[in-house]
Amino acid sequence: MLLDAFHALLDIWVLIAALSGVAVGIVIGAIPGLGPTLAIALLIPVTFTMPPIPSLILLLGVYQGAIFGGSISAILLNVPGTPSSAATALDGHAMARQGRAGEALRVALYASVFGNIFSCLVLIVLAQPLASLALDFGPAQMTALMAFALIIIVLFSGGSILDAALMTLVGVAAGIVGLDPIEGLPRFTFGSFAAEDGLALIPVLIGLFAMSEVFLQVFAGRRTTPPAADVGPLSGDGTSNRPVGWLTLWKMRVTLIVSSTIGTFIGILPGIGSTVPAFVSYNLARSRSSHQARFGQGEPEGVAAPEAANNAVTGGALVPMLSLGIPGDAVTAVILGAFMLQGLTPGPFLFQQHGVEVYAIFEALILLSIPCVLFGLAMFRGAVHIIRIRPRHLFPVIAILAIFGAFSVNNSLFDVAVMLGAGVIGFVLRRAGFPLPPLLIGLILGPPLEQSLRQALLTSAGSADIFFRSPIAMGLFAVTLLCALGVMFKRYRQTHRRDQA
Amino acid sequence: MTTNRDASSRQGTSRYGLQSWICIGLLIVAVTGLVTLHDQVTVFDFGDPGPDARFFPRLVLWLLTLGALLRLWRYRRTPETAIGDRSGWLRVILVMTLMGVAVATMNVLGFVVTVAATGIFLAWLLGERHWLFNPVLPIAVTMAIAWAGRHMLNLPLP
Repeated sequence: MLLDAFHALLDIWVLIAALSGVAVGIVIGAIPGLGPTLAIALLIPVTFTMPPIPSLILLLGVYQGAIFGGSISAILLNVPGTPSSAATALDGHAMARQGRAGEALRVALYASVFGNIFSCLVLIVLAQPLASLALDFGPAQMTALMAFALIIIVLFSGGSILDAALMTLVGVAAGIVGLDPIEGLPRFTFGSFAAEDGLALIPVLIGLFAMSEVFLQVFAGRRTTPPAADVGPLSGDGTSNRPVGWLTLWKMRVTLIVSSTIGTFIGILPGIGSTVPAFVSYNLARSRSSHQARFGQGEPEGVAAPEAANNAVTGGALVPMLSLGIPGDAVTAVILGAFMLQGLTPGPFLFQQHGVEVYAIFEALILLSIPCVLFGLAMFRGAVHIIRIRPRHLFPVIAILAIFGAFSVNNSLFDVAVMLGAGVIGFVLRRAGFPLPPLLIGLILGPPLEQSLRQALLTSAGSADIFFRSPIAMGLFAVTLLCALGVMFKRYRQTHRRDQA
Repeated sequence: MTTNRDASSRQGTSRYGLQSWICIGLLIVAVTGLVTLHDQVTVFDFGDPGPDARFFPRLVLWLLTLGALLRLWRYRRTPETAIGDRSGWLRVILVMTLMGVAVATMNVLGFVVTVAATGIFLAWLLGERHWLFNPVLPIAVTMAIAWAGRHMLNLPLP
């Protein structure tokens, strides 16, 4: 299987897709405010006519490139391109102000690549066995699994649990529109034939993540100007860069391995994203270090730890997405949409039906590290110009691409209207600080949750006993309950301590 | 409710702000959904045991109603994000209206005209006055996308 998959990669279009995906990802990730979710959402329509392997490699290349690209603006401007790069800015920008921007960017690049390769190896080892295990799941177990995923996303998404729960319910409610999954009856279509297919995922996510960004920019008006870089030249005379080679990486080996492990395994859990592991790894690297005082002042390990962790999340987050069909965050939800468009429905049957494609994607994820290093090194000098692109040049182009992307899904203006509606909703919710990823994941998991719940209840003639008779379902409910109790206890302790202080 | 999230921090706080209005909106949508459930979801009952097509929507809409009420009650004494300045909302409503008109007239005027007009207006609203970036850039991008869509992706663009 692995050899067949490797043969599938020996195609010029795969190479072109990988190179362009990584390059586009680094550029978009480097621009503050734009992230992998927006980039992938806008690029999905480009992949419609492409075969599955190059199209998915293009999008995964964007994902990997954008996560690394986020560190460029974090280091040079102290403005994280993606939220997960915020921890990188702590020491990365300090290094840049000392004239060591080139060194910080190289450490970030190599740590990113290490984290990515580590997590992809874990993905290859874990995804298939997990999918095989899930093959034995019936409707009751699938209901418990979906409920577990949704509740974990609510509990661990950060911020207010109530807000996350509300957004998840909005997403699940939006998934009701269209034909009922069991009997095929129209629901809340208001007589519209176009609405019977439900709210198509791609227009909704283009609206939520791309068009809402345009509206936020329009709302802010002309006040937003790109921040100025205060770091001087990246390389050559006048800098204090130290060479970054194998020896530097060897000295950081424990930090890289620990951070990658944290990133990968936190990435597997739904809803946490890559910001938490980046900060956890940074704090752990600082507490382990014999030079704790140097952290925050320009310590290379302070750059390596969060970068290895946030890149390791990419492979980790793909484990539940590919093997169970459960996206862990907004980016994997968008990638799940891209898989479905290519006819590869993520879940337990994916490995049985499309094993070659899946393993080709796994191998490509590891090989994508090569263009990532090459483009990363080549783009350092141009990075200062990329991150200074003005919003008034960028956002009209994003709006044009969003309209085109929404139309191209089904060649339907109804989808463009859905995209605009989702954009308005996303804009209002983001202004109010409500989290969007739970909404998107609720929209994706709502229909399969309903299908498995109703199938389970239909097979047991409406009795809930079917859940109590299944040890797997009971186990999942017990873990969900334990997680909920754990989070409630932690929040209670935090409030108690704050009151005491 | 915390008041310094996302873009909201710039706009100050208010006793009844965006969060409350969103929750009230969700409450209205959920209650309307529950009231119209029978009309919007036709069920043909053949006496089968187990849940019908109304079961899941009813469950979700009730949870949404409870969630919105709980959110309103839980944060009733917390300052919220202010609605924001009127000119910002006016700009957003203008862009939304323009895009709505663009979608409505796309079949008549064509993809290139409507989408390029949207891009030009948006660039103007964001403060772009240089001829190269407005109108040349939006027109060039729209034409390039339309060409690629028609000839490379075989899309029947209006």
